[in-house]
Amino acid sequence: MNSENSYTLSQTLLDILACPACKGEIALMAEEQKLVCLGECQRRYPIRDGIPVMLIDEAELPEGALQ
Amino acid sequence: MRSIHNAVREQFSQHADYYAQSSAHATGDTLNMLLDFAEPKGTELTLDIATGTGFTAFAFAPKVEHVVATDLTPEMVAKAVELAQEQAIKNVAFSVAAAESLPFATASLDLVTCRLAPHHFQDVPAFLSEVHRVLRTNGLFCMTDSVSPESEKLSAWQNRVEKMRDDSHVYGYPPSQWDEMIADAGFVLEKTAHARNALLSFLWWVRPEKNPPEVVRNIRDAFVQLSPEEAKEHYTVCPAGEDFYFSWPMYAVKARRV
Repeated sequence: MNSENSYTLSQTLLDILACPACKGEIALMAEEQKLVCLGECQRRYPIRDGIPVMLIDEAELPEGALQ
Repeated sequence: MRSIHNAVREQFSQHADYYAQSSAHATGDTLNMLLDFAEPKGTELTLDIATGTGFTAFAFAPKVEHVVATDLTPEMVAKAVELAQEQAIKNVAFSVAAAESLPFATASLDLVTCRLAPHHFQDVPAFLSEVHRVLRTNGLFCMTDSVSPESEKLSAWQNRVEKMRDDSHVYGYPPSQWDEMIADAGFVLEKTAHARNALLSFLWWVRPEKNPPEVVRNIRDAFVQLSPEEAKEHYTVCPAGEDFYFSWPMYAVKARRV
């Protein structure tokens, strides 16, 4: 968790978050402040100011993935 | 999908403060209707979709275990976070998300609420399908929104007028179409109610600071084209000098995932 943020990601939210695209499980990459899909698509979603931005259009695709 | 999402985000990113201060969104019958319909027991993990600046999420927070609140527009979520911190509300968490692609695990929630927002959604059946997916068996979906009359002519009129005023408006369905779409998504309708929002001043509602004079004129002309019966019966139009007051029909739904 980024200590500079006044708002931090809650565990309750983390427990139920899933990938909006493939509905795969999500894991927190704390250092990078990203959420990574552990399912088929492996998209990475940014966390901005402690808020997960779970928009398919704004996710990063893994290297080599088709757009 | 992307273009309407952009229109919605553009509309709401500029108006987070307006919505945060809007008494029409902070209070009113639709919030009480949702609370009455939901009958929270205090144990529900709740999702509020298109929370805006968080009014519905904050109203449910003291009555449920936890609220997760989502909105498509980051600026609205940022304002909601600020208000939650000001009000020391600890059991609300936020995420930016689209109503048609919810970022939650299947069967992970007990209650889903959505208030005054689906008329901005591009794909209501996709939204309902997602709500059904994230709810646990016996979970509740409670929503209110502005709706259009059952008459095809008036439904088309109302949606045309709303779209002229606000490009992020997509479609206000008549209640019978809501009932059908909710049933098609796999829900059982338990309760519905018709209501009206508080009377709106046309000159306030039409947003003359944003819409050019010809658009304001065209919208006013559209109201003039209603018959006196239509204006009174469906929209409670009341003249007030240069201005006039009116209201939109609202609809509330309580549906259960079985």
